[in-house]
Amino acid sequence: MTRSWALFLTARRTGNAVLTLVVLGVIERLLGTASVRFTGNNSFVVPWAVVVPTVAAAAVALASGSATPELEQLTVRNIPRLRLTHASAVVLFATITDYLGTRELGGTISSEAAVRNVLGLAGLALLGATIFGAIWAWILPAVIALISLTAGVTDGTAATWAWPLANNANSGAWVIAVALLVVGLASISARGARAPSPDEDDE
Amino acid sequence: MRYPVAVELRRGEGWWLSALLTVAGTVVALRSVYWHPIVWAASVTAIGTAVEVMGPLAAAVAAYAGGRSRRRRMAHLEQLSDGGTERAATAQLAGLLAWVLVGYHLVVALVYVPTFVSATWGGPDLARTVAGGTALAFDVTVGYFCGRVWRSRLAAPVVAALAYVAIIIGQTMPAIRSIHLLLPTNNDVYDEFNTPNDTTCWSQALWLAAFAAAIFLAWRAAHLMMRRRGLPILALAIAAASVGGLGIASQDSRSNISAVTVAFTCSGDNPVICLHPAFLSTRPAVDAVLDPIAQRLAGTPFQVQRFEQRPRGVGGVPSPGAVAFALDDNRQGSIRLAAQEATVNALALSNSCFTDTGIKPGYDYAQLVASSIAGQPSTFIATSPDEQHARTRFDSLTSAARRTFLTRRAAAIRACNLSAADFA
Repeated sequence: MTRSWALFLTARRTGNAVLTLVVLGVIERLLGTASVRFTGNNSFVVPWAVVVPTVAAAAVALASGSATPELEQLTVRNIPRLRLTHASAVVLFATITDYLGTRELGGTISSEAAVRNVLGLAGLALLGATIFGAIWAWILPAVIALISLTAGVTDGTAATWAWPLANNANSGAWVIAVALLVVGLASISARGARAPSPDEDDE
Repeated sequence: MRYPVAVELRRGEGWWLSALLTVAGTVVALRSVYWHPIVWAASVTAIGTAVEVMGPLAAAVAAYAGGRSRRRRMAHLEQLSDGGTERAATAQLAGLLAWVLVGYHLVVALVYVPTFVSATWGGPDLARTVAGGTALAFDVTVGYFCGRVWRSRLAAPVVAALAYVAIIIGQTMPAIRSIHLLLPTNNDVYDEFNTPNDTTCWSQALWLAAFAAAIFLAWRAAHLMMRRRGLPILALAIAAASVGGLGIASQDSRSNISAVTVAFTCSGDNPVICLHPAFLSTRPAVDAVLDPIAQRLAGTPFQVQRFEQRPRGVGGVPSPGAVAFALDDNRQGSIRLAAQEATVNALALSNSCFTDTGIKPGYDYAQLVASSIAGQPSTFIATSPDEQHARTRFDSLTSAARRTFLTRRAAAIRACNLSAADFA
């Protein structure tokens, strides 16, 4: 690894994101079941294939923001290409850890859906990082996950817009997820994460 | 105080939070009533469902806002300003609360106005609607002070996650079912056969508002080194919160009172169809599926002269000689489901096909007959050549032949004992 790459990764706190993704994968692997069900009058099944990718997407997006955005504007290097490579690599790592963590999941929303959700939600998070900044990048995946979980299913079928809850084989959900990933990667590559206000410290 | 609040209203995080909450809350609420609210009870419940999504988001943004002065390294300026940190925090929190409540009221308006236009019975429930807004105010206050105490880029998403987990636990954990309304949520199903328990809902509003106020006053007392003039108000807030909490516990967290007396509206003569007045706008669609069922059963032992809409479970027994059906909303899918239920009840299958040991072997053939009588033959899926043959045979019968079939095999149908031999 060249020194410039090492600095590029450090400026984005990529190590924290990698650690978070590994911990998520391990937790998911240890749980090993498709759902946690609180019993009672209203039982609620937590679909891990939606929850874990939402957190993973937030970790991916947090790693998209640079600690020195102004300086990066001055560099002679091809920053958009570096950003694209970096974001793609983090998304790929998130996909692998999520797949390994969710391999034991059963049911109709299992590891395939988890991988699809990582791709789509990460794309959404990267798009959010471009618009709102890395610190708020989690909001778009969280909103779509929350709305989907709360009101996305009617008579056992997920609405098109609630694609994170769609079955593994739902091709429409895959198309949406891949499209979001492409848009997210393109936006983060072209513009980078929105820089925080100059008077703000985003630690 | 006026000036800092005006600045917060204009330049704080509240306005875009309000926009986010309005969009998310409206989507969730209107989706919960399938984009076409006609029943007040469903619309009131939908607002509670919207708060489930709005609450965590509001708490997260409030947590972010709470860390602002330290994030901008301006905490010392707050302390040096007129009124100090206390005044700055009050203004910031007031700005957030104002915008969040604007968002909440917009969601309420966007759901209640179309309900007001379309509904044929009932009205909004003030206590439950106020409690929803108070739950959001509680989320904002708690989130804000989390942000004040814990300054981190992770504070907002962690607060959102914790708020959501609290809501889910409140809705699902049987162990706290009798006090679940102490948490800032209430999407207990409230339908047109219930009346809302206003004592519980007002108690929840009082509990959440007073608890949020107590958090703010406790922070202020700690921050100002226990200034004496604040302590009586803090004690008052704690007392008010206690009254609210006891009110919830005394009602066992029941937000509904069952067994409301309903004057059903009946029309038609053969059959008579009785609907809850809240569902009068669905009458043409309901008539269109129930009239043909009555015609198919006419002249058989299963002849129906009266269909009555009833709730599922408690209060679900119709008048003697009538056939009950449940209707959830005005979607075509729900009306088809009502037709299926009416048919199953007319054929007396609802209990006979199910035993303590499981489902009787004749269940599939009973379903075949019921789906055909309900006018929905495609809902039956044959799983064997015998069933496919039975289906082809039954579908090929004329109306008169079907009546003969039903008459001759009435006992077998009632006992859920049909078999392939009956369709040979």
